[in-house]
Amino acid sequence: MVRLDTLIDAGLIRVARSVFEPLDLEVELPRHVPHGEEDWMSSVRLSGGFEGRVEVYAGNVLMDAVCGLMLGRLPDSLSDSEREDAWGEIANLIAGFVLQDLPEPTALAHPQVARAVRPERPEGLLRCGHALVEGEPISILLLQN
Amino acid sequence: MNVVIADDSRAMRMIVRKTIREAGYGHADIREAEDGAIALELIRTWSPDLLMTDWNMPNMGGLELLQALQKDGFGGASGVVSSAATVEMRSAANEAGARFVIQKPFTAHSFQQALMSVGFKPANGVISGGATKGAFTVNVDGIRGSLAGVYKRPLEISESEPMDVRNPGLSAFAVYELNGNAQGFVIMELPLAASLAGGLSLIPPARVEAAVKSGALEGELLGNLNEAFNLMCRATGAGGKAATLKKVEIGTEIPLFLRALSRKCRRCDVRITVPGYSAGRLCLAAK
Repeated sequence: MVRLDTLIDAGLIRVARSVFEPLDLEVELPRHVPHGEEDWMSSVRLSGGFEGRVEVYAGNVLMDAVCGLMLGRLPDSLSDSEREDAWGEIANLIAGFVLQDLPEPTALAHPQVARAVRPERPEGLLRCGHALVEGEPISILLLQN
Repeated sequence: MNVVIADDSRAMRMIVRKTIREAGYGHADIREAEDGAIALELIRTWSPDLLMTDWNMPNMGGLELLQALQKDGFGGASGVVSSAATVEMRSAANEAGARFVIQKPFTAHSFQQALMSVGFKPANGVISGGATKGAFTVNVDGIRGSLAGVYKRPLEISESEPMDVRNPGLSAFAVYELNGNAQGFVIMELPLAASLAGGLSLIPPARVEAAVKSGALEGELLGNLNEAFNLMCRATGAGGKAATLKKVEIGTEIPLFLRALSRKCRRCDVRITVPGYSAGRLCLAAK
């Protein structure tokens, strides 16, 4: 049984709301966090005052919907590169908010997108937030080098 | 009004372009650059009225671009659109001549406010509270008009309780696009969808009922369903701008994309009875 306080990072939930609610997507707290499936991972390296990265994990359904809403088009009309580009922007947006709590000056690198299984206990994990966006799980990790 | 958008993300350039239109600047001539160096060259040759630039870009970032334009004596207005809008960044942008900084995620309202602050008036009027004006008519009369004169006997159409877009039950739904953008959708309870489809070519009611019981529409019924959805395109039209039908599906689960889109849309929920067949609810939603 996972303790609820390990699921909720209030700050990261607020970040998720700031990013997804403007897309008219509802963000809620999860009751449990599924693990083990391959997700779409988007990461942004941070450098300067803070050295590390932000990683965002979500499944196909949420990624498709978010990319479609961002670009104003049906998800299945998007090319792979458009979807990955838009999903990379999501990590960029999230990192931009996370940046506000990090020492200045910290710069964001270009986002990277890949298929990956979210690690349970990654090295350097500082913060971890899980949420449900329209019922679909999303995880946000802040890791330090 | 000539605008240059500089951003290394194609998706973000598309989003900025779309948001400039939604903010009331559909008349703008917009050109794009994927990095600061390309943007600089474009600006030197084209002399736009406005530059909207990202901060982090390869080859030449937003700051260097602004500084180069400052040295050139660029006569237009510059602004930064970035996710990394820290105090330090805003200060540097300001010193390099940026007239505004828009933090992502942004809205059409925040774009309009920024552009108005540097003297660009929107063509479509001021957006209040972030609401955008829709291009489509979404009301009972529009639906009546789109289906008028098509069926042998007039349909009975009246306003109804809103359909639950999250759990509509077994339904048929279609998505409409205008200028490549998803603009709206229609959801019909399956008995209504089958009735509208059957009524178009007077398919025997018993056959229509059997199809509803099986949960699938095929052959002539499916073809007619597409036609019924095409007719609904007329309901979304205003001033000659009719949307095009993009996707038709039957199922119990409305895609997450449509559920979220519904929150941006104006909607009209009606109950339609197709004489000789059946009845059901229909939800028409459009931006």
